[in-house]
Amino acid sequence: MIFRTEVVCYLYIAVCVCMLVFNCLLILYRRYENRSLQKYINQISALVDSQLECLSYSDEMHQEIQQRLGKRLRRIHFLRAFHSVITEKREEEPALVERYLLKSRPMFSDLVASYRKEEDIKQAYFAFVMADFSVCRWVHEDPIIDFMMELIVDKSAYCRENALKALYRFGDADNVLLALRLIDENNVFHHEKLITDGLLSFAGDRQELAALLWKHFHEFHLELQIPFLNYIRAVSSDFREPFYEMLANERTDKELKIALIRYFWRHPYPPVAEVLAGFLEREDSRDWEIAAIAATAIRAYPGEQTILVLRKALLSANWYVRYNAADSLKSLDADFNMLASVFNGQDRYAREMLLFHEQQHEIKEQAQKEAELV
Amino acid sequence: MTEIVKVFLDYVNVFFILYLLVYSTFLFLSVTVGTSVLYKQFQMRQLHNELKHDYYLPISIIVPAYNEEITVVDTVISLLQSQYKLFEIIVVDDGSQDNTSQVLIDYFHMHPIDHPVHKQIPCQPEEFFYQTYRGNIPITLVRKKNGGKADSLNMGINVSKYPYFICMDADSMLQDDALENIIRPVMEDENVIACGGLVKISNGVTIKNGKVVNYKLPSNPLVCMQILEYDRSFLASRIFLDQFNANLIISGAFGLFKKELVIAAGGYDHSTMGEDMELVVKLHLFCRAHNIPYSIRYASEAICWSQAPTSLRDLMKQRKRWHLGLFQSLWKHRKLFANTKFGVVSVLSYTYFLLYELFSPFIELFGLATILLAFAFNLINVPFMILFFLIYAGFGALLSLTAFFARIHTQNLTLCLSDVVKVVGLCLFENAGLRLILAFVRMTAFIGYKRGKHQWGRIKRQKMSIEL
Repeated sequence: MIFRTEVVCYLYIAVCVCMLVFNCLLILYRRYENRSLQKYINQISALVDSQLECLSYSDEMHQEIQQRLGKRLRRIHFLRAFHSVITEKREEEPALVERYLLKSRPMFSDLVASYRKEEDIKQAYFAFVMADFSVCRWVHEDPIIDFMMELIVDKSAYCRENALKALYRFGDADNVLLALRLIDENNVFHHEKLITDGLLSFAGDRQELAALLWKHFHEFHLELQIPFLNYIRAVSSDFREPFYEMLANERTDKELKIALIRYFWRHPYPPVAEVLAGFLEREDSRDWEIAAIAATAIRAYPGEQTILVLRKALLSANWYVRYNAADSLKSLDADFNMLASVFNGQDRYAREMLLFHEQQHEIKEQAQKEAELV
Repeated sequence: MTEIVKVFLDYVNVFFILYLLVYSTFLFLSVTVGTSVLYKQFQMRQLHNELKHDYYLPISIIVPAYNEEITVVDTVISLLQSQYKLFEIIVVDDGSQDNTSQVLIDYFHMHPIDHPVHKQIPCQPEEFFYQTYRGNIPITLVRKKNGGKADSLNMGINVSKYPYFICMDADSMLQDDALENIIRPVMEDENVIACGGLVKISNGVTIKNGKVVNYKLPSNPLVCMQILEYDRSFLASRIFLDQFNANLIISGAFGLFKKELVIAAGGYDHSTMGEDMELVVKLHLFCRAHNIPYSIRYASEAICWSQAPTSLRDLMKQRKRWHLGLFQSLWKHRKLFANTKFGVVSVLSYTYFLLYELFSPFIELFGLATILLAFAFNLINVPFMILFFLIYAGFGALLSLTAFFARIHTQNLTLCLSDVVKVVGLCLFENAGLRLILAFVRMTAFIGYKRGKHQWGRIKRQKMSIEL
């Protein structure tokens, strides 16, 4: 076998030299890019300034300038420059810039056709800019909104997230519902935490959105139902009755029950106390999570009965139930006499749990005092 | 006799050509892929492709410490400077002989507490607990009987209260956005069960409020060479293997894990020195055995700064320990060897670590012995041998430089001209000199090796450059 080893080695060296040259070129390109970005910023700034000036004394803008801007913003570098200019000017004259952005909606709508052909990263950036500018605020239909809907399915998580952010910022509850329906119908994974936090940034009427989500609640899969409940928990206490029925229903999914218990922790509803006590008293090792969260939530329902239930829960075989029960007893400031049987009893674990929460509470208070002094 | 040697050397030649060809190809591919991934991530950052939220998943940060009185306070301070809002810090003092616990208690005004422990994985018994709060962040100190790093991590897992935990070294500092970046893969993909961060050498770096304010290469050439080596190997064995969900290592200096799965898999193994690698290999096996869809990811934007050994002696000790850990992990999970049932984890990763990490010093020794044999029988072309060696060293050096500069550019770090010159000069020596020394160290790692010995890697600690 004739094998010219050195040829292979030289080949590799050549490839490496190419990589080094690539690196050097990239440094130069980045320097050029930084300089050119500044150049673009100056160009865009001049155009935006003249439009803002126009708007400051009339309700019209120069159409020709707007067309020139529209053409330039098809390129991502100019869009970056535009974003930078607007961000700066918005700090100086927020009301005027907001007016300008709302009036520029047709220009942004025209950009959709260009960005629809771009790669994911640039589309995600376009969505980010639309979210930041809130150009379709309280608008129900627009090519931008259609494009955001397209980005939600079959794109990267970043595209989806930025498109959702834009829809939350636009403030139209129907469109948000439609976007979430797309996620649900296409079985797209979007972390429940991201959806909950996103919904909380909704710029429209939060109560209206909560009502809409509840109205269509049963049309969605569990993955979306949980963030819906989390969102409603944060914005409204008007759902106690229907949620109570759902919680009391034995067929309700475990994860939903947990979300509902959290709701009733934040928005107490007297009939729920009995349901929570039931979860603790009929603790099932398969559903220990429900008992554990019930042990926490029941603190929102102070009373002798609650203390008795929690005292019993302290003896649970499950570590988390004991832990949360002790924490609740501490937060309820339970009377020592009622807990004497635990302190003097045989269950060392129950006693230790109570002592731990007692000490932890003191340490927290101490740390707060020290922080205030500093 | 000469004929026999000739035939033998012919076979050896073919073996080494193939061996080096595969290695060079792997290295080349990994640096190329790694570099392009870094540049893509850089572009994504510029264009706001991000998952930024106010509230993320809660995380427990476990800091195992043994004789870390010099660095442990700085480490906790660096954690408190994080932008992340929901986490707890658990420092596990593994029976230190210095004042590790005391310096923490004094600095953070910690209070004793009778902390119940939910022992889900075995570990040595606790001696005492201290706790305090900084804002909403609880800082818990556990002092336990000495049992090694794996044992301390298991204790930390038992004490932790959140569903994800991070393990990190007590001589490391996290950048302020490191927690946010390391949890991001979990938000992107529900199947992510573990995620490694990028570990970089902190010698010469000044960090203020969790941000790098001054990046300068250290004056110690040994540390500079390790920086080059880290960059190359992180690009090679982390980013590249990440493309196939085939990473076998998440550095013990900075990694995130799903607690529930780690507990189900049995936690960290006390009996190995490379507990970080062993856990990751075990998680691969566990998830595949139980048909759990999983992904083990690598987040190159989650940056942890860690101290590197400054003396050759410390470096040798560290590498010896790493090599033994590698051996123990690969041996313990030897059923991965050439087992196509485990897919790319077996075919690509396990084979790579076996041939090019574990066996490489022995193969290199074998190569040297055949050179001597060829000399003895006058069967060697000396000029070609030298040329070959130089080309090989040059190839490695160029890849190191590519990896190094790719990292510098994509993390917005700036280097002065003298540092650039230093790097270019040292990359050749790193490939032609240090690599050989470390190959010798790894080869002799098994001398004096005792099974089941709980050891902490000790290097001389320095105060970190952290500004408050």
